[in-house]
Order: sequence, then structure tokens, then C-alpha cells
Amino acid sequence: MKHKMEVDSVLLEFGQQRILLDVYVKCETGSITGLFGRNGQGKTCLMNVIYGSLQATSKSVRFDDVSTYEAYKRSDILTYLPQSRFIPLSLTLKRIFLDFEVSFSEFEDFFPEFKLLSNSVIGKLSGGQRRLVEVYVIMKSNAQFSMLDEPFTHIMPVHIEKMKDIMMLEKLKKGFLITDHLYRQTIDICDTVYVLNNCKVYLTKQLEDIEKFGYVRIN
Amino acid sequence: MIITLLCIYFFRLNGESALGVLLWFKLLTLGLFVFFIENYKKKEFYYYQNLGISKSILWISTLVFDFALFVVLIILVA
Repeated sequence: MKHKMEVDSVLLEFGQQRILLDVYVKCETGSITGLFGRNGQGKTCLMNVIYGSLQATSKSVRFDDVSTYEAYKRSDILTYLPQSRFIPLSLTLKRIFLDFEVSFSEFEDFFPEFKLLSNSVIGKLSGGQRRLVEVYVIMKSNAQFSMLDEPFTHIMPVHIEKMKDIMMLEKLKKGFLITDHLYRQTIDICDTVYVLNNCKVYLTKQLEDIEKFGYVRIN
Repeated sequence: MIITLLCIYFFRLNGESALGVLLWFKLLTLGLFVFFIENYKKKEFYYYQNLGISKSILWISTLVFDFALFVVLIILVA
């Protein structure tokens, strides 16, 4: 059975400054939805509004047509990878994988350099390794949807390719909403692409559409 | 925990006359602790939220446990 997440009627303002207006985004299980936009357009804000950790003046977030105001209380429905580090540095990899009910041995098979590191605390790893663990556990989490805010930042290209393969496998079970400025690496796995520009979200049909909004220069 | 043990130490030294001051000191340090965590560790709440544990559950359980430990140790020492 397919599940869907829909967001609309979002109005977000910081004082006099309007950030988001009449946004509509739809995400379904079995697909990867990309959200692109220039810096400061409100991509992270939109994700936080969907998650419920940022109060908007108005919003409607629905999972299978059921309105959910505080999605962060439903880890079975939605998990969220924030832009910056979020795992406490004192936790061991074993603890983290147990908490998220994700197999560490499977992770080791994908990334052999983590062999023998299950008892290491995450704070002892490099920034890239930490980010890899964070992205992996959120991608593999038992939620219907996962929102990933800049998952590929700090990760080396070889690992990005592996992460994309894992995401393609995981999308058979869940839906992803993803934003990342490494758009070439991201866009080829996206089934649907939205661009956020001037407070509004636009559904694009082809790569050239994102150029139109001044986000990239393709040629 | 360190603050609680410090309070117990001063309570043993000064007796019941210090209880009022120690109680306010404990509450003040709890307030500072909440302020520090909310400002400097706020991203780490996402870890627990992704596991289905809300901020309010985390705060209530931590503060109730910490303050209960303080009260129990004061009663035992008294």
C-alpha cells in the first residue's frame, strides 16, 4: 500500500519577512522527492515546519489524508535528518544502531572501514564518518517517510554513490524528501523535483526548469 | 549529580539552617542546566525525537529524577 505525505497552505513569517507562502509539496512512498532552492529560500524552514519543530502561522501537513500537526511525535511516520550534527557525541555506534533498530553488520558490509568500530563513540570519528552514520540510520529508520537535509555534505564521492544505492533500495519501503546543494548527485535519483523560489514551491518537469529560477547554471 | 552531591555536603556541614539556601541553589542550577541544554545542545533533541521520545518526556523524566534524588538524599542525611 502506498502512503502519501502532503503539505500545503504553509505561511511562515519572521516578523515582517515572509519566508513561505502557499507551499504545496507531495511525497509518496516508493519515490524520492527533491527540494532545491537558493540559499536562504526556506528549504530547511519548510522541513522544520513539516516536522513540527518550527511554528508556522498556518500549515496543513497530512499523512494519508490525516492531519498531523506535530509530526516529530510520530517517529513511525516521519524521521528527520537535520543539516547539522544531531547524534550525541558520547554514544557508541553499537548503541546508535540498536536505538534505531538498524543492523550494524549490514552497515559494515556496505562500509568495511567501519569494521571493528562498533564500540567506538561517534565523537571519535571524523566529520565525514559521523555524517555517514547519521544519514544511514535515518535512511534505514522504520518510518514511512524520511526528510534528509543536505545528506551528502561532508561525505566523500565514493560513499555518496553507495548512499544513493542504499536510498534506491530503501525507497521500495518508504518515501524520501531530500534537499542538497550537490544537485547533480541528488537530482538523478529524484522522481519528483520541486524548486523553492520567492516563498513558493514550483514543480519542475525538466532539468532546465531549475535553471530558470536562478538556482544553477547548467551550461 | 555533582551539584546534588555538593548540596548534600553543605547540608551535612551546616544542618537544617542551610536547607532554604540549598533548595534555591538547586533550583537555580537546574534552571541554568535547562537553559544551557536548550541553547547549546538543542540539535541533539532530534536524536531522541527520531526515536519517538519527545522533548517534554526527556525534560520531565530528567528533572523529576534529579530533584527526587536531591530530596531523597536530603531526607536520608537529615
